[in-house]
Order: sequence, then structure tokens, then C-alpha cells
Amino acid sequence: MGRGIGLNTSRRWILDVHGLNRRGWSLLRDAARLDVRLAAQQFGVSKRLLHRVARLPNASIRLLSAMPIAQFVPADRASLLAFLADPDFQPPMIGQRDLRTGEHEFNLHYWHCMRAQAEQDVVLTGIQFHVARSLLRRLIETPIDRIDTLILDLRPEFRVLDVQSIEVAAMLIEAEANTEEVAHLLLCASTASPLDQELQA
Amino acid sequence: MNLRERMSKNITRAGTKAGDHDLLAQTEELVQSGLRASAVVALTGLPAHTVKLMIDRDVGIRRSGRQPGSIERLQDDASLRLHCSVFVHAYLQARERAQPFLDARPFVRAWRTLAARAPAHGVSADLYFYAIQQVELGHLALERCTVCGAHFLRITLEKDVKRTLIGDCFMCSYRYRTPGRTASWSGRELLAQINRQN
Repeated sequence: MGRGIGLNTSRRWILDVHGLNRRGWSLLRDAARLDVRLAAQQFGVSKRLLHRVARLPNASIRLLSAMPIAQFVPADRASLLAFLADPDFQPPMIGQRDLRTGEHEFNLHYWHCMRAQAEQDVVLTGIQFHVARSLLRRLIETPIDRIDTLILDLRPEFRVLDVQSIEVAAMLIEAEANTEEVAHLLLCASTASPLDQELQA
Repeated sequence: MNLRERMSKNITRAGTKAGDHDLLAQTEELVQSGLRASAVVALTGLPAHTVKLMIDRDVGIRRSGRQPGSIERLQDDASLRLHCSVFVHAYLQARERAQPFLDARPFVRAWRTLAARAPAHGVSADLYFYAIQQVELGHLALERCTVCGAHFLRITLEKDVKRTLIGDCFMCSYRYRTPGRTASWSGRELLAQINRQN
């Protein structure tokens, strides 16, 4: 079990998830540094957030990538589930956008990594990726070429980024807070579930 | 018949089954996390002899079977309480069935989750096991703060407790001070902003 490369399964698994998050954050930061307006369209986040993210140093990105609240997760779950369940489902087009090579590769890596880990352990993947178990079960059943289709013409509603929870985290980092303090608050917040979701359930 | 039953019945020529590998891999991970033998036995149901042999092989030194934690320790140490809250939250999320409460798989999952979120937590696995036991006994309860939505451990024990921690969730009571500003933010305000739906 992973002895060949000197890492056990869980260690490799953690590295995978952290690496994905870090890559996603740096992609967002690079896009924000190049052109804020374009990045806001491409990632579907506010410009206010992008201005903050553009100033983040590498250490802060490493800190953020350890926490599921600041994670890159599939945003629109309902239409995603519909896409995975029904082969004929055509999601509504919002606008055409061409993905840069880096972003395309990141999305590809992200989805395949999530699928591979869900094949090992659905529950743990759900916790770590902050994704519903039903979505992961659907993802396992879906053939790989279907997922590639999903990634190749990745529409904005299938973007791999959760916008809701990262604003405050970025704000804290920008305020040059103590690293331990930020880590403490992020750990606190990792057990939090949104109040609205609780009401719906 | 699963591995734990076959081993407890002392069947010598039992064939290997598919589920055995999972159980042994989980046991190995528990042993490597530094959990003491009696806790590993309680979680996996393997015979104590086998578990002790694995600890001798992988860890090298066996801990005493003494209970490491206490309610007082949880009361005094806020950081320990925070980590236990995160652990218990992940543990309850990772459970697929309510029974048996002590099961190896959710414990391993919660241990991995905590290792991912706080790599240098430095809390021994024994203390997490203690927290899980207390939750099962009903002395601790994982509650959700109605203001910020975060989960925290509340001590429900009425007797033999010096101070009760009934009241505010300790995450909400946290004060965050920004260097340039005079007024500090409460953790409650921060978390409310995190959980705000856009």
C-alpha cells in the first residue's frame, strides 16, 4: 500500500487534496494578477475577492489549501447531478469561454483525482472534498469519457470553485493576521455548516 | 463470519476473506497512530494478543492501558477541546451506521481528516478515543452553535465537574484583533460572514 514510493495511503491522499487546492488557488491568483475583469468572468467570483487573492503570498495559499472551507468544489450540485445522471441532459449555456491550458489541466486533474479517491472510499472523499456522497456515487458510475466531456466543454455552472466561503479567509490573510490565529479560525470554521442549509434539510 | 469472529473462535485454518484486508489495514493505521492496545481492541475487535504483537512490531513500545484523558483536562485546555470537537465532528460524519458506535473505520477516517486539516496538532490518538468514549457515554455532546453554525463539545455531566462549560461556544467567544484597527472582531462575526450565502 504505497510502500513503493515511501508514503502510506493516507499520507499520499492528503498530499493529493492539498496539492489540488494549492494549484487551484495559485491559478486563481495568477488569473487575478493578469486581468481581474477577465478572471472574474472566468471563475465566477467577485472582483473584490480577486483583488485580495492577487496579493496573497505563497505561505498563505499553503495555509488555505489545508482547509475544506476554502476548497475548490463543484458549485452547482443540482445541474451537475442532472448532467451525470442523464446522458441527454443539455445544461443551459451561459456563455462561451476558452479555458487556458493550466486551468484545463487543473480541472482534468481535479475531477479524475476526486473520482479515483471516491472509488477507494466515498465517505472520506465526501468529507475531504466537501461534496455530497450522492454526487460522488454518481461520479463513480459515470464512464470516464463522459467526465472528459464535462471537463472539455466545462460550462461556467460546472466550475470547480466554491465562492461562498473563501471571502473571509482571504480577508484575514490580507489583514496580515498571525498565521496561528488564521489557522485556528480556519480549523474552527471547518466544523461549521451553513445555517441556510440546515434549515433546508 | 468476519475476521474478528473467526479469530475469537480460535479457528486455525480459516481462509482469507476480502474484508480481512480492510480490517488489518485499519488496525495497522490505528497502531501507527500511537493508540494504546486496549483502545485498538475496542475499535477493531481483534484479540489483544494480536494487537500487542502488531504494536511490538510497528511501534516498539507499548503504552499502559490507563485512561489518558479526563473531563478536567478537556475543560482546562481550549486547544485540546477544539481539536476534539473537530475530530468528533468528523467521526460522526464518517459513520455510515449508528451501531456499533466504536468502529475502526470512521475512527481512521476522522484521524486522516484531522491529519489533513491540522498536520501538527500534536494531540495523541488516545485523547481522541477518550472523547469518543465520553460522547458515547453521554458525558460529552457535540452541539451546533445556533449563531455561527460551528460545532463544539459541551460537557453534559452534572456531577463531579468543577466548572460547567454551558453557554457560549468557544469559537464564538474568540476575539480577533486586526493590527490597524481599534475594534476587534468576534469569531462569531467572522464565521457568520464565512457562512453567508452569496
